[in-house]
Amino acid sequence: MTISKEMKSDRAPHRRVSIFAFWRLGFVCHILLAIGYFSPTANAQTTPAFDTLVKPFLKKHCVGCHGADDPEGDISLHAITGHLSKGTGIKSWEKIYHQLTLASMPPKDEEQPDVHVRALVLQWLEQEFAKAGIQIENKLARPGFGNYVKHELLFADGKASPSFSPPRVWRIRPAVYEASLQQFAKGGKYVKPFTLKSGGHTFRDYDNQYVIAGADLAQLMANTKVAARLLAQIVEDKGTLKRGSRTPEELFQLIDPENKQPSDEQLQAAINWLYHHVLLRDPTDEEAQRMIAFAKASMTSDGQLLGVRNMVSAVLLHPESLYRSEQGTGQADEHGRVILAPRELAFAIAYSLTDTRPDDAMLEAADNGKLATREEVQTHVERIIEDNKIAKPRILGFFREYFEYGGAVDVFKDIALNRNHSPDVLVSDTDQLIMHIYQQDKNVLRELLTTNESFVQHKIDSKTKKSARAQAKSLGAHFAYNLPPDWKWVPDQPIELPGSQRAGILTQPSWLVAKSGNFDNDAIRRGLWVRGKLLGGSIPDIPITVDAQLPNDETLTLREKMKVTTEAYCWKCHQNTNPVGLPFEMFDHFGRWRTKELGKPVVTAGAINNSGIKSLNVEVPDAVRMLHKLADSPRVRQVFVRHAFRYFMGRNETLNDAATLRRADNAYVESGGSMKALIASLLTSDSFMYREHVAASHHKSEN
Amino acid sequence: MINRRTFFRGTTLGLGGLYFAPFLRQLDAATANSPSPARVLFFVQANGIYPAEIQPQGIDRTKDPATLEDLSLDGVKLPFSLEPLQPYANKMTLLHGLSGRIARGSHSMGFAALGCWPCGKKAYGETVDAGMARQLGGIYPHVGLGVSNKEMALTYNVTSVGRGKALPTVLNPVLAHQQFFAAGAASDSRKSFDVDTCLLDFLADDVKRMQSRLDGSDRQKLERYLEAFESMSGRQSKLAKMADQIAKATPSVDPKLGTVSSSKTGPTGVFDRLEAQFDIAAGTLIAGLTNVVTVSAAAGLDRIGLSCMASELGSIGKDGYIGAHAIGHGKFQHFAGLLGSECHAHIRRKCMEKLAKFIKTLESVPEGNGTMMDNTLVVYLSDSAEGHHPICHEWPFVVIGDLGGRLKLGNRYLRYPWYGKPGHRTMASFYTSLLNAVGDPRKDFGIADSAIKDLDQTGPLAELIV
Repeated sequence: MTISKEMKSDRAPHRRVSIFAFWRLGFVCHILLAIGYFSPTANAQTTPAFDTLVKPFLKKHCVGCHGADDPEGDISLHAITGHLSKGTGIKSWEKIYHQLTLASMPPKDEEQPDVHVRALVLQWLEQEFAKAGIQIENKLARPGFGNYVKHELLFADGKASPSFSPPRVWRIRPAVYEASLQQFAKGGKYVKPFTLKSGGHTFRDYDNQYVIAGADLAQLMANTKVAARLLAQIVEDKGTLKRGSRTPEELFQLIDPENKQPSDEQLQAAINWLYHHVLLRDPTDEEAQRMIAFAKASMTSDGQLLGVRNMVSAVLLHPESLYRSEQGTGQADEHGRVILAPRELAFAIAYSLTDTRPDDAMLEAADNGKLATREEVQTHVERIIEDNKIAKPRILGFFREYFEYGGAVDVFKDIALNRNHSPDVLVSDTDQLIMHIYQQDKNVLRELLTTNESFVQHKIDSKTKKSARAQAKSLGAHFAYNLPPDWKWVPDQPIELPGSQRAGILTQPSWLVAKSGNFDNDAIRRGLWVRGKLLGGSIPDIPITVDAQLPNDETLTLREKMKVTTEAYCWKCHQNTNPVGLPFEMFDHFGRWRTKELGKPVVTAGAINNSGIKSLNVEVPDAVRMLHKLADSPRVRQVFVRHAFRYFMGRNETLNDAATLRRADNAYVESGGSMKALIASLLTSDSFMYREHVAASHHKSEN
Repeated sequence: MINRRTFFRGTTLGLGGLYFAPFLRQLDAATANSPSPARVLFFVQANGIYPAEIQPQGIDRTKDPATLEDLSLDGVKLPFSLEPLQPYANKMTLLHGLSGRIARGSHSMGFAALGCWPCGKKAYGETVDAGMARQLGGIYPHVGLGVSNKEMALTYNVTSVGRGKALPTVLNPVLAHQQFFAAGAASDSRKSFDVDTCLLDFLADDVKRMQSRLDGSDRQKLERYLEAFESMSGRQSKLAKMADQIAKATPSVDPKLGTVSSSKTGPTGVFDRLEAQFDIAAGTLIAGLTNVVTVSAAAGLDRIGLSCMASELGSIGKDGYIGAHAIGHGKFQHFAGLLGSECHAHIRRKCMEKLAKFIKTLESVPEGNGTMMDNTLVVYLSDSAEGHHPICHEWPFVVIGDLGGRLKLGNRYLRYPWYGKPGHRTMASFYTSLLNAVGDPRKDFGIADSAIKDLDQTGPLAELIV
């Protein structure tokens, strides 16, 4: 629990809760409208009270286990009061809020509350937290918690209400920062002032994960000084003073020793140059006047050179150059949404697909009013997607973060066990397979899950642009693909591997190694991946009281060791990982297909279970056949679409995004499984283009 | 006039008293009528402290003890990896048997090592160093310094002031040097590091303008950016007044240490950078810029440990790359002619050499009737408890100093009953003791371990109370 500084200000409470409440309200309204509960304008009248709704809810669903006598988890709710705003029972209420948000309580085998009643209790809680000045985190927005939004509600039949996102500011990615700095002040020796958090099983660049705080500023300041020195530099050349190689004429005018007192026009020209190159726009008149006044004052106190560098620094550290802002503009539509301003769209499109700022074509379109409709956005999205000359690291980035195979290089393997293990080559091979499938752009997910093609020790030589053998010194990397010792490397790749042995990325040695331990397979993490990334399931973190150790008996197979997880208490979670993880026992922990384990025939059976789709719940003989079965499933496809949404939107989906998700899924299906069509659909969706209108949210929260 | 390089070299040779004399008189005056100062340095090294590796010779390590062992270190020889600290054995407490199972994870517990909560929660609350910093104050309440084999200038790895509010660790000693000592630099170079207050004000105004158009969490995001400008601006004027004091305490740092080598064939320079960070840590304490420093070495949730070339560890004979992950697993493999476990001990020893230099520096600065070290506490731990893949049933600490007599520490070997046995204590109780010692009257710390809920996990360690 944190009480924000902002909450202490006089107008803050409403502001703090507005987005939050509306966000939730959208969720509530969506459900309640769907069941005809109330109209969106009636929420003030129908706000439930503690005695009439919340107390009976707790009594019915919670107090049975969390009562006075021997309460579960030492949490007792029988006497809890509704006086949150006076600070009473806050910790318990926070727990209740999180459990209800994630629908983790009541337990699955108990009677579940009505979805709308649960939503109303949550709405009441949010209002009470706001009154108490408490900022409560909505766990559904956390990376890794996206699957908690019920799939059936997102992909229900019928029409979904129009989607939108909350307005947001989002710290730019480190790669974008570094690229733009090199773009306008090339050659400086810069430090990396911020990084992306390591993702684990989630996507890394979420809008709610990053702020720029005190120490970042010190590093940014160091870089800014380097850049400012380059941009305002006088060098001596054969006795004459010249501008530095990175110093534009507009800035040199101001520091030229001949020019003792730069004119306002010269200052204006320099400011224009800085704005154009750093912020990619004209300064407003007011901005220009402020900047001129500042530059003059700074030159007076620190001298011309430092004064000008201060001016450069002021633009480089402008919040707009470090945060992308997506607020929307214009009048709200009938759904309380505003469309992003053309320039906001330009930046959003560029940062979704590339690590660079919008190109000239898009900026020009934005400035000429040609980036204001869905069709115009689509034109540029498709143009960038199709233009192979534009580097789009975000595409491979998505697949890398989604599949997590890059982790193979971090798994230590004893060299004595396999001298041919080359994890970086394996990862590179998978990168190429993915991009090959992406370029083919047909049934992409199906191919990713079922192809028996593979690249093997293959790379494109950076100079000749031709196929070349990766890591020529270590010739044995191909053993990971069960190729014979005398296999001759071929430049024409991908090559075909036996279809009974390999089916897509999850049977690539890179993925298998990434999801393995140091000395054995890791069926649990493999199962977790399949459960979360293909079936859309959620598994809570391992309980703190569990000493999760498999027996250390070398005479047992992994499957035999994992028997300890079938005890009733463990099985609650392990039933969701083991059956879908153990079929990968057809491979060893270096990713090699095998028929035996410890001298006995390896057991590779498993099952797709608890999928929520009857026809999908089947027993499977091995991973290859499990993956073929999964690849046929519309549910798996939709879960994939949900993950693509998260990556390209930088946040988890909510029920508000149902329309966007269904549209993206349709685009994918109708295009014959085109990833490009899926991405284009997401980047032209309402969730991408529209923002909640802030005034509307104030109005609602203040009601 | 004494230049900075000469000055600091002098301090490390034990001549600090001479050069520090005028400044120290100020310290004397300041402390004459007030409680003795209190300072703390946490050193968090990744990859685990294997208990056997720090077991003093002559004291048996019993298996799963049922009773508290409280022994003197008199005449005890420290093991190979701790040998550089032998001169300070009389100030040392080896604290064994405290568990930290609540934090359990793989390789590294990151924030949880100083926070006592499940490590997956990352910056979940206030870590103990941040809590002590809150109590002890300072222009920089907390200074975070560290080293890594990765090319990063900054990371957020072990310290947090609250949920979601991680404090930074500056990994580039050259930048750290600029950041903390620019105010003491000679006027020309100072000007180039100093940030114009008007610029900071102008930028703060820019942020406010953007902020005024935002709402909710977005406002708060920019609030942090705004605070950064405001605190830098406010700090700058305070620093300007301390310029002489800072100049005197400024260590010299080789500009080449700003570059990280990620090659596996050439020197990584990681220990040179660590030494520089300890020099900077000492400098910030001596200058009075802070009272709490956390130095971390390759620590953090997704980190593993220090990797280096064998040649950087001293005269081993052969050379070759020693990867932290590899030695964590391949204990019995050979790396550059050494067993993995021997490499582990060599790396610790190298770190201890740097730590010993830090202690020596503080010992060379007189304060009151003794030295600065008398009022300083050094807490050395790993963010990975007792191993590369720890169980966290024990989380060893090496503690030097007694925080100006605030804790009953020094010349002690304390080992608590094994995990789950009566009398067993957790590291949270140690942290409670530390916080109590600096005036925070809390009864517990972090999140209790529910697997041993029958044991009392509240209150400080009684054995340490003065």
